[in-house]
Amino acid sequence: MALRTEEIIVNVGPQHPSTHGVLRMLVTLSGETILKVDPIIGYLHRGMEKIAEKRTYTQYLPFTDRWDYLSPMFNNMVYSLAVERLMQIEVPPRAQYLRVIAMELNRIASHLVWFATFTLDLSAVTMSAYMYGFREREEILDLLERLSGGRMLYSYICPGGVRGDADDEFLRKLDKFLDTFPKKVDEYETFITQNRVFQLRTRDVGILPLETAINYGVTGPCLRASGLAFDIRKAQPYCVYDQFSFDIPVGDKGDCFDRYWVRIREMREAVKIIRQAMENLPKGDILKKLPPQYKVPEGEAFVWIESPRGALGVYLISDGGTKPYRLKIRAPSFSNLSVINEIARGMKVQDLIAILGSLDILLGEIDR
Amino acid sequence: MDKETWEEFKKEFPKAEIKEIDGKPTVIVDKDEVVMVCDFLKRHGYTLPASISGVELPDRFEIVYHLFSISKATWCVVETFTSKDEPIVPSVYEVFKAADWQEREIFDMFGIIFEGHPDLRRILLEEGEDDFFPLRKDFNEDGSPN
Repeated sequence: MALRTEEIIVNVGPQHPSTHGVLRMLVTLSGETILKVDPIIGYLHRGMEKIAEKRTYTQYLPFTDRWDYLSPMFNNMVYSLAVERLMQIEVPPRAQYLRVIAMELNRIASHLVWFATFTLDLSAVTMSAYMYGFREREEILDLLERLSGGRMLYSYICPGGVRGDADDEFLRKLDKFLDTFPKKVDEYETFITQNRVFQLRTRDVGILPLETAINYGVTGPCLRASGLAFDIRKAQPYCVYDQFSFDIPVGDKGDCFDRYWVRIREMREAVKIIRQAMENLPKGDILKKLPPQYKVPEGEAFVWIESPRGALGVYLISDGGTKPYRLKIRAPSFSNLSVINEIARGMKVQDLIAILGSLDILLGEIDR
Repeated sequence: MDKETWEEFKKEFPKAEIKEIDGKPTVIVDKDEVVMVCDFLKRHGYTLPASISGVELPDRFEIVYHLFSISKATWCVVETFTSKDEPIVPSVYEVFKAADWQEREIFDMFGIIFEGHPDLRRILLEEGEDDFFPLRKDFNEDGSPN
């Protein structure tokens, strides 16, 4: 009997635990080797850019929470930055520091969700790392609840400052968290980093060359894992990031393991930043009050910040009215996902799950 | 960009208008030149295509390319225009691979056709028979056309 080969198309998702949301992929396979990946997105499209044109600046703030629902602080921040840039508002120093604390806490929380689900994707259930990630995230959610009143969607950072002050109890709890958290990261590393199965599943899998990464607009930990120390917090500091000392973790090869390794070290760096911000927290106002409805001067602004997933940008055009004329969201996950066909080609089908997990995409932000 | 590069730029693209908008050097070019301009800027360090956006102005469509130079940490913005009756712009896919999805999104939302794009189809919305482009100003939020 003659052996016959045939290309087959496998449909992954949209309802699949390892797609982290509602992502569908058409994977063309030859045997077990991937020939082509065609991601089909848009299942979570809510028209965030159109909604912005029909809402006042104040009304739109809660919508920003829902772009990337695992790190809403960054969405609030980038939107507020764009509005503040056009209105030329100076934000009080205490608010700037609180923003940094809130964002870096949120960065850890977001990375923890990624860590938990990534290990789950690689079937690390038996190692319990999944639950450990969510255990520490819970502490952060409690902290952010104390600060902002919300557990998941905060609308905490708003144009002009922040909407709640840090009280003594928050600072005490934060201090305790910062003391214990690095030890928890050590714990994860003993479970995962040197784990033989984990190493085999991630080393040399899904290598993203630096040139390709830049050309596709890949940013954030995925870009840094490919060996370029590009971090907007250092390159174009916003808020008060220029006043803190921290390192930019970099990988060298750009495989799944490097992306993992960069994010783990980023959590440690975030702890350092929060510690510095907490110790130097100035006293004073936290909000420069704006009226409920205000006009933003005519003009345009493009701002971007370093979100847990990469460069999150907003291109805001105002015609001088109370609503944005155009608001374009530059979502990091959107660019990061677009490279998947490039890096998954030639890998085995089980590697696709590892690659997708290591890119840390979020569909709320991709589809908007 | 340094002075010399700007001189070179002006020599190569005499028709381009150079402005400063939002603290970023902005070049406004004819749509026929946009691929060459992007290529020029890429060769001079603006390698990261941060964002490609579509904007509807009252009388025309605007495509805005935000290019970033990682080594110098500076921006360069390229703007080009197309008419509303015949919204066609050349694709910069050959220069920046990021244009693949970003241009598909603009096509999806504004109905602007990118000539030379290898795979121009809707990306966020469902493929359908109707021509509807939600980010156009004449499209209402509830989905009803004007």
